[in-house]
Amino acid sequence: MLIDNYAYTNKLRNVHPGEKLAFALITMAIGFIPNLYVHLVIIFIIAVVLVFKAGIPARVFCKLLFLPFSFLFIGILTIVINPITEGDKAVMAFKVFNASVGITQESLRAGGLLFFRTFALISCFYFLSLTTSVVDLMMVLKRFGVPAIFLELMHLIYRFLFVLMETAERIYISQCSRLGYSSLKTSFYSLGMLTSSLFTKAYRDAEMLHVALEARGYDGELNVLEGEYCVSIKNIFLIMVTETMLLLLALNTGGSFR
Amino acid sequence: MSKYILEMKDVDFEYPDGTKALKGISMAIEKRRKIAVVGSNGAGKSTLFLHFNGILRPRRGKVFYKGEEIRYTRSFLTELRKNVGIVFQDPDTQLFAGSVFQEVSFGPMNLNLPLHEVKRRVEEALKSTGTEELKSKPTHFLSYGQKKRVSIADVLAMEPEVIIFDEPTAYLDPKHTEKLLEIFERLHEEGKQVILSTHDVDLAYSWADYVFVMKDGIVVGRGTPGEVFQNDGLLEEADLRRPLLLEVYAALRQKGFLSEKLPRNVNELIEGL
Ligand SMILES: Nc1ncnc2c1ncn2[C@@H]1O[C@H](COP(=O)(O)OP(=O)(O)OP(=O)(O)O)[C@@H](O)[C@H]1O
Ligand SMILES: [Mg+2]
Repeated sequence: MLIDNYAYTNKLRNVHPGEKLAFALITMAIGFIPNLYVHLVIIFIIAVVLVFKAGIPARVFCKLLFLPFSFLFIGILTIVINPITEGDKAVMAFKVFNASVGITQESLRAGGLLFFRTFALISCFYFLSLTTSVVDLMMVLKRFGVPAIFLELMHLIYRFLFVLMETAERIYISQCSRLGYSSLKTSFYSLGMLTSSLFTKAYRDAEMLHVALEARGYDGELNVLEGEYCVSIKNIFLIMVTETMLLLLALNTGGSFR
Repeated sequence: MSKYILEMKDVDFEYPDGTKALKGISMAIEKRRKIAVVGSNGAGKSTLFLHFNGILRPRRGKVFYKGEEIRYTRSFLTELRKNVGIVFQDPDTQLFAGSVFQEVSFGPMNLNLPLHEVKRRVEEALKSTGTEELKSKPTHFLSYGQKKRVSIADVLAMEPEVIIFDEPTAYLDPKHTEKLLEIFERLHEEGKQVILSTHDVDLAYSWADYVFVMKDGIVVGRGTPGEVFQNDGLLEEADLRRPLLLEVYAALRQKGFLSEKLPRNVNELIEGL
């Protein structure tokens, strides 16, 4: 299940990438407002758009959303649990050696808010990566005047990521089928071989690619034809309405967590 | 004007690790001839081809394009590569772009053509290689045969005068092999020069006008397909086998079923019966 697959097959793939990028970025910006309702609504909107508009299976989106869960949980713990002093009203407290640590109402609030904000921002990010291919994204970034060198690097890194992944997989399968991972000792050996040959191979591939590009008249600039998209007034209108509603919600419910 | 489109004189080439891949190659390729280069693995076919558009530089000897010696300056090479295109043996070394459409547009974009012309060429190249449906797919999700076809479209879209195909039919299914042969035929009719390397002696025999046989960095034989593929000593030396058609022809002739005329394809063989 490669996320990248969906970027090319989802039902929103023919929507102008600029619109999708704008939606993701503006929603992300609003998501920074510390307001629980805003966070929840953002997650909801993105889930609905992804599942019903883009046709991404709900299962996939949920799985992706929970991918950073354990990492996030540990991060939140360090915010929720703090050293406390005599005057604090602790919800829960315990002693570690001579210091007392615990959870206060404020820390719980801050932790909870951070938790949902992270999910809201992550879902914006997933929206972009599930509906927009790197190729399209680069086209928009180019229009925004991002220097060509960055975009070309992005282009090549993107391609080589897959070449590297494919090569690693192929080497791994070939090692497995010859019992390369049957015991701990052979596993270490095989893994070492895999890593070292992967990098020498990647280096060689990069060199060969340069040769092949030169054969087609490469002169230091990767010029390719851009895809054609129509700007949709309806989509822009919908995006504006959604963002305005989110902003209004943020203003009316105040900036805090209740 | 020289009557040869590409020429090589006493070319030696050595890879950085000391492998002597070409040892004194001399060959001249006449205009408008269908050329096949055959030879076993490691014979030096791919290395030879990389000399024709100046990617590799001979250690000794000279390469000529239309009678003019190749100079290894930036401007000369750019001009040369507009005219001599190579479809690489391994498509993975050639494909770099995110989508097939972009991939194929790269070459024509480098020719500084107007955008609508680039688009026209890309569409046409995609159509003739049967890769239109793959247009917006990323290159890394293609099967090997599909990648091969895209890499062919890559070079077709540049419309060079000479197209060199390194093992074009490897990985292709029979239907697409057939289609590729049609492309070769069309290119030939348009006056383009097609040069290919292959392990498929049957293909080389029935398609080519002129065949070069390579072995260990040397051209060990050359001539019309009829001459080359009936020379058993040469075939053995180059680790090749006789085309099936010629085997059958020889057997049938021995039994007195066939006339003198050498058949180039199955139809001609049946006609002769
Ligand atoms: N990059 C390289 N570095 C060192 N040696 C190389 C390199 N590429 C090829 N060779 C060597 O040069 C010789 C000729 O290789 P080449 O790839 O030209 O053969 P080929 O005729 O194309 O073979 P095949 O039919 O397998 O494609 C071989 O002995 C090969 O091992
Ligand atoms: Mg080769």
